[in-house]
Amino acid sequence: MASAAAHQSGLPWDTLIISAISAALGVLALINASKAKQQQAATEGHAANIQAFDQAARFYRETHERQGEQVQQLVEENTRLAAQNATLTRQLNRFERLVAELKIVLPDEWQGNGG
Amino acid sequence: MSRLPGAVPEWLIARARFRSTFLVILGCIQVPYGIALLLSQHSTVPVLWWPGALHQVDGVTVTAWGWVRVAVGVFVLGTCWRKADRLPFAASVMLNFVWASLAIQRGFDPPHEPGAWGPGVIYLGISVGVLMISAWPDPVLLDEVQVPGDLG
Repeated sequence: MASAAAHQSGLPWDTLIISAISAALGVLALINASKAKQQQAATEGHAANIQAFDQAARFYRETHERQGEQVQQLVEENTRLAAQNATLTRQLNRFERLVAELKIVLPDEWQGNGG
Repeated sequence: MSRLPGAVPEWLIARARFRSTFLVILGCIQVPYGIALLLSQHSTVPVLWWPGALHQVDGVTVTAWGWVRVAVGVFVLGTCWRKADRLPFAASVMLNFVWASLAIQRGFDPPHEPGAWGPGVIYLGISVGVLMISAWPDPVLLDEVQVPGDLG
């Protein structure tokens, strides 16, 4: 109806057709651009999630490795302390046997534990 | 990426992937073409190319078309940097399609002007190309995602 009105006002049909097709192509370009931006936003979100996941995985892997090293250090420390404990136990037993053989009376608090 | 002697600079390759780069090129073509249309109407020597040789195209003066070209080119150059670049794409598609249609029409309608429909085909190709590129998404660039604090 608008075309008919425009034709009656003096605009030739070819001008109307060209204008209509041009307007349709313009609208199509607008839709294309909007969809492209939406697709880009979705891709950016997806890529951001992947990057965040990779970074979290790297962080937890590094934490796991660091804690593994700490556990190894604790095991070594425990082994060293156990050896020292065994040495001290032997020395204590020898000391107690010596005290018993010499019949020395030690005070109740000689070990320093109040017992 | 290794840089070969004489190769295209990397910044140009990186920049070429963006939609705005295409719009810059498009604007840089439209503005001089509009100026050429304007100057063609003040030429002292015979102008042989379409539509510089004419004074009107579809009832509109070539000078007016020249100003439209310049205006659309400036609009494209001024808005291509924005994230919302729908309008410069739409304006370019519409203007180039109208221009192509008028040229092709001039080439086939009497009085026939064989030199008109050739450029018309070129402008039709530009219009379709701009329409296709308007659907291309920009490449995704991500800054390094920061993990808050050292949880260790």
